[in-house]
This record gives sequence, C-alpha cells and structure tokens, in this order.
Amino acid sequence: MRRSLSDWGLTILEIYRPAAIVLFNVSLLFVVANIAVNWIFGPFSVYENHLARLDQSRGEYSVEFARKLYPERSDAEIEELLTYQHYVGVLYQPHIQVVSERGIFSGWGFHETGFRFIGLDQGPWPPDPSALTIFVFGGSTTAGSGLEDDETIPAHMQAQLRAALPGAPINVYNFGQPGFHSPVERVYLESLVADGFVPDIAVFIDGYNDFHIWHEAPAMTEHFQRWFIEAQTEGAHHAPQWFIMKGIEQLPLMRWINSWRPPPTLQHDFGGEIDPRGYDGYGRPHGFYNERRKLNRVIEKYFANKKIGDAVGRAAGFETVFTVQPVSTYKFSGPQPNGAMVGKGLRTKWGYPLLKAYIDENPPGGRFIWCADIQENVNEILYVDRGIHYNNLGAELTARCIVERMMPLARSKL
Amino acid sequence: MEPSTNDRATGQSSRPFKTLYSWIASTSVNILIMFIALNIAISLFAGTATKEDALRDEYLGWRRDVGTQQLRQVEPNRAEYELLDAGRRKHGIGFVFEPYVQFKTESGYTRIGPSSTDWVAVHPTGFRILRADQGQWPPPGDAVSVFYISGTVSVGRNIGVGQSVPALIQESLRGAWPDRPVYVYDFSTTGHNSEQSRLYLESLLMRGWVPDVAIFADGPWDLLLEDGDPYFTNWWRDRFIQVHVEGYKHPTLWYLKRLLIQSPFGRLIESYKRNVDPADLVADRPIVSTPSVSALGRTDQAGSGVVRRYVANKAMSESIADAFGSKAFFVWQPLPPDGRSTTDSAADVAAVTLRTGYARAKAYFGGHPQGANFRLCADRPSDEDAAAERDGAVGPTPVSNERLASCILKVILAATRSTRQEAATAPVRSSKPKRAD
Repeated sequence: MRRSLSDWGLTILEIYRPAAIVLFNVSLLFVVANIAVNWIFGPFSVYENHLARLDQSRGEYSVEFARKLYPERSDAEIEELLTYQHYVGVLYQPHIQVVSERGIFSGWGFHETGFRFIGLDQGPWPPDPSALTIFVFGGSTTAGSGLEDDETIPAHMQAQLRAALPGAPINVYNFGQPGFHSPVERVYLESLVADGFVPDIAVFIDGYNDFHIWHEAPAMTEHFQRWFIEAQTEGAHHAPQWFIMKGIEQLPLMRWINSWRPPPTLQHDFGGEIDPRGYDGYGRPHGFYNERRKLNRVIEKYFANKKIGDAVGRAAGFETVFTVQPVSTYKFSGPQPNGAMVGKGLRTKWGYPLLKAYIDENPPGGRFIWCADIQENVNEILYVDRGIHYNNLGAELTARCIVERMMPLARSKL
Repeated sequence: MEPSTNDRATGQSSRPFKTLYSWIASTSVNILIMFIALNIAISLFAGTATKEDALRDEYLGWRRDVGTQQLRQVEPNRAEYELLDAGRRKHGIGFVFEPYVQFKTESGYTRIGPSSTDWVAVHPTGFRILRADQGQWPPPGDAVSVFYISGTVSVGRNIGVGQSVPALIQESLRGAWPDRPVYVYDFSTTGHNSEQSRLYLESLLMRGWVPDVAIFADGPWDLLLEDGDPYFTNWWRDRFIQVHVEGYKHPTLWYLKRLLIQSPFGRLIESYKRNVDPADLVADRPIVSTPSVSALGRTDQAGSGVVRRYVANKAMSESIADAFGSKAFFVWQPLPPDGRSTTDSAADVAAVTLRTGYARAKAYFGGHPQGANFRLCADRPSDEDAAAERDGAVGPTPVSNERLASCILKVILAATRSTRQEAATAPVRSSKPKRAD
C-alpha cells in the first residue's frame, strides 16, 4: 500500500521526537555525571595532584642552606622558592627554550637561575667574587639524570678541585640542562654574562647530545614553532571536531578517567624496566645514524660554536674549556646491564671516530679536552640506563679527566 | 493531540512536566540542528573567507603582480617550485618562532597597499628583500656583504623598501667602495633588543654565513624591554606551562566558545562586530602589551641595567664578529616618529620610558666612550619631530631614515678610513665560508 506524503511526515515526527528526547536525555545525563564526578572526586587540578606529592622528602636541604643562594629573600620567600610550583621539570626560558624548574623535589634541587645544586657544599649565589667560580654546562649527562645532586660531574669536579687545592675558595655551578647541546649551552652562558654573572672559567661538556641533535637549533624548536602558530591563530586552522574533542577532554568525567594514568615522573623513567622503543629514533637502520652529511655538520657546528664561545670569553674576561665527553659507543667494552645505547645518540658510534680524526688533523685552539678515551680499559658499570647517562662512577671518572687537565688553569686563576 | 496510552498510564499529575520536558528536548535538538544547517548554508553561500583563503589570494596576487623574478635574482640556483614556496606566506601571523632570537619576520610576500607594486618581501632566512638591488643569497665571495641587524624596521606604510635605512646604506657604500659590489642584507625585526641582535648574527655565523660588515642598530627595544626579556617571553612562559602541565587545557567552555567563533556563522558575526574581513580576525596583532605603568617608577633604576646589558652584548658581538673576520658597527638609534609630541603624553609609559632611558643612555655613553665603531644616533631634531607630529607620521619617514643612514655611514666610513684607508680597498676576504642552506 502506498503511503501519502503526510503519512511520511507523521512517521518522521514520530521518530524525531523520541530521538530528540533520547539525545537530550543522554546529554543531560552526561552533564549530571560530570557534575557528580567533580563534586565527589574533584577538583581535577593538575597542580593540586602534583602538589599533593610535594610533601616528599626535601632531602638535606633546609632554609638555612638556601639563604646563601637567595641572600635578599625572606625565609618565607625562600620556602616558596624551594617548592616546586608547576611540576613540569623545565620551564620556558628566552633564547634557550627551557631551563630546569626551580625548587626541590625528591632530593633534586634547582636554583631559579637554572643550576642544579651540587649538594650541601654548594657555593653562594651570586658567585663570591673572591672565589674561583666555575660554571659547568652540558646536557642531561652533566645535569646528572638518574643521580643524586652530589654525584654529578660538576659536584665531583668541585670536590676534586677542593681536595687538590686545599683551602682555596672554589665554587662549581652545575648549569647542565636536559637536552642541551653545545650551541644552546653557549647561549645560556651568554645570557648569564649579559645579566652580569661572569665566571672565571666556563666548562662545556659535550658530545652525546651534539650528535643526537645534529643541527644547530635547540631540541624543542619544532614544538615551539608549532605551538607559536597554533597559539597565534587561536586554533583557526583546527577543524570543528578538534574543539569538540578538546572540550570533552577537559570535562571532569574525562579528567577523572585520565587521572588513573601514571604520571610521567623520574621514577617511571629510571625505576622500572626500560623500554627501548621509548628512545627517540629507536629502531632505524644504520644508514640513518651514520649519514655522513649530518655527522660532518655536527663537527662543523661544534667548532663554529667553540669559536663563538671563545670569543665571548675573551670579551667578558673569562676562560673557556671545551670537553668531549665519554660515550658508551666509543672505546667502552664494560658491562651495560640495562642494554646498549639505542636511538639517535647512536650517531656517536660513527661520529666520535670522525670527530677524533678531525681533531688529530686540525688541533683545536684554545682549551680543549678530549675525555672520550677514559673508559677504554674500565670494566665496570659506568652508565645508569641504556648507555646514555653516567652512574656515580662514570661521572666521577669524567670529572677527574676534566679536573686533571684544567688544574694548571685553575691554579693560575686563584 | 490525543493523549497516548503511556500518558494515561502515568497519570495526570506528571503530564505538564513531561510535556514541558519533551518540548525543551525537542527545541534544544532543533536549535542544534538549525545551527549546523545555518553554518553549512553560510559556508556554501555567504562565503566567509578563512585565513587560508586570504593567504591564497595574497599568493595569487603576488604571482600576478611580482612573480618569482626577484627571488630568482637572489637565489638563481633554486628551482621554480622552491621560489614559489619561498614567496608564499604560510601563516599570515607576521612573525614565526625562531630558535635563539625567539622570533623573526615571517617570510614571503605581503601586500601593503592596493597598487601592484605595494609588496614587501622577506626571504626565508629573515632579511627583507631590497627590490632589484638585493644581492644574492648566500652572499657571493667577491662582494662586500653587510648584515644590517636591528629591532626597528625602517619600511612602513609611508615608505618603500628602496627608502629604507639598509637600502640607503647600500647605495652610499657602493659609492664609497666602488671596487667591489656591495650587498646589504636587512635583517631588522620589529621588537628585537640588542641581545637578540647579537643572537641573530651568531645564528647566521653558525650556519656558515659570515658578513664582511655587521651593523647593529639598537636602543628602543633595549629600553622598552627593560628587564632584558624579549617580546613574547611572559606569554611563552604561560603558554609553556599550559602546554606541559595542562596540555592545552582550557576549560571546556573555552573550546566551545572558540568553536562558535571559528564556525562560519561565528566568523560572520564577529567580522560584522569588529568591522573587519573575516579572514583578518586573527591576523597580525601584538600579544604583549607595552610596559606596565609600574615600569614608570623603575625607569631610573632599570636604565643603568639596560645600558650595562647593552654594553655587555656589544662587547660580545664585537668579539664574535672579530673572531670570524667581520667588522662590527654599533649605533644607538632613535625610535622612528610616532606621531606624538615628545612634550606631552605623560601617561604614555613607552614614550616616558624611552625619553628617560635615552637621556640616561646618552649621559652614560658621554662618560664612557664605546670606541670608534659606536655612535649615538638617537637624537632626533625637533623640527623632524614637529613635522612628524604635523603629518601624523607613524613609523619611519624618508627624512628619519636618511638621517639614521647618514649617521651609520659616518661611523662606518670614519672607522674604515682610520684603519689604513680601508675605505679604498673595502673589507673583503678572498675566501670565506659562505654557503647555501
């Protein structure tokens, strides 16, 4: 039997109204569920979740300790400065993109200028003009990822220098920052100099990150470029569903569900079994890591940067020391219980021999220290993870190499 | 309408509520569907242009009016598709993020007026192309290459590229150094302070582009950014925390609002409200405000910090340039005319900061000579101010550009003459590491 047009209209209306009510009911239920979740389990502030964990040990650091680092601040202000504020680990810093977040968490202490404390023997800030002041720059291997504050390379350097020159006022500052390579470190130093913080000696410890990030730009440049465009256009380039999905993500119900996911903490990075797939550049063929164009560019970059760093030192009246650090892919046959290096750092396997050959043919001017060979006959564990970051012994050996070679310079500056 | 069986079963008391609820539900869904339909209709028929549409129109206009000849002259070895890509503005923001210097001018051709010649071009490396006189990139080894690095752009609505400070310098240096071609590259970027100027040079050097002469024209932004943090810094600090701690976590309502604004219907309404083209709703607008009023009180104390930082940057820039065999020149330049009187607008923080800062800087430089490669070019004749105020000139004028270029040339020519009559031979090296990207 054929149905008339009015019959079709009636049928649509019969379906439409209940469907609209169901849709409305579901939406209403969703809103109610969000209000209920927020009321019962909320608020879902990331800050508050992180702050809840801040009652963990501050280690040995006290307000008395920090007074010499913040001489013009009240105790209340110091308390605030010793407390992590954002729990990001790094914060934005002009020119160099990021710098370690100030505060103390689980025994790691960072000054607001960005240097990591080297333990209770930390020198004052601003640096004591009557002391020998040494700024040490490097990546996470220098900052000491996986180590306590007093186990890092700069901490060992200070201890070794003070032991070798008893009574001499020597203060070492650990400006190592995760992901930094030589040009970023040099710009970091320049910013400090422009702000009036001039050391007697600036030591740069590089190698691993220079090959990992083979170009000149800081590690997070691509992200910053994208964020800048996204933010400036206020999402104009996003499709409508992006806003809808982002909006839904922020609802209390969704955040409550997400709150069950483990937070990205240091303990998760170093505490459990390390999944090699998490390393940047994992699983590429050898041709990816030994591309000669990139390796040559690293060497060009390193020495162009050294030239600029030396010039800055001359302009501001301090000495520069450039050090090539040991890496597990070069002249190291000791045990690596966590596995051998993977990811883009593997460029060091081909890059270090090239760099050595270049240096042999073109001896660098200025103060240059080659510490890459120090582990050649050491049959002990020197790395805390998959052949990237040093353990305490690895840091101590590296520090010893630098200190022994720069001892005449240190004596001359005292 | 006859009551249904269910209605009868649930009783008379709940009928008004159910009817009301049913009406609200239907109406809500109706509105939603209407809104979607309206957006589709507007999108199809009303033609609210998006940013992408505007950029595409600009690109097509550039291809029609200018074409790739100019870019081919700068980079003769590039393929046509590379030149087309280089000439196209991709984001329409005005700036792009740049490592170390924090931001630089967005590359590509921008229309600045209705005429077919009203185009300003920025090379992907960051320099503004000086029309037909622009030298090749990378700088040829047999030419004298001059990098002009400044926080103040000398091209504006009232002034063409050929009347910019770098163009005037190029013209004069070609007359002074006739033995070699002289190519000036205009790396000036609005808002850069002396630290960013130094970093700009360093970035170019790191990539193997070594000039024979580097000119640093700074001052205004050193004073305006008195704590030394570049433009965008506070904005970046907030943004970085948002991205990392909260992962773009605005409240849900923010996303809904943006969704409404970005929809065709929203763009149409917003464009009427703001009386702009829909495509320009998120175009080139500054994010950071001028210094806060509290800066007024700190100007005197900060003034010394500004000058100290400037002098430290100058010393580093000079030493770095020297290490690469380049000659560096520095001028402390004025802010281009802003159409305001220098004697009033006491509430204008920026104006007061600059006036106070210049006075302090002038006093400092008077007592602490900065060498033969430095010149204070900041004094602006009162008649120029009066003319600018009378004409309502905002930004550089031909007169202000000529005066600044003349001041810069004096320091360059005097310094090069004093070092064994180098003006005659021009500071050219036979071999230098200049290379393509």
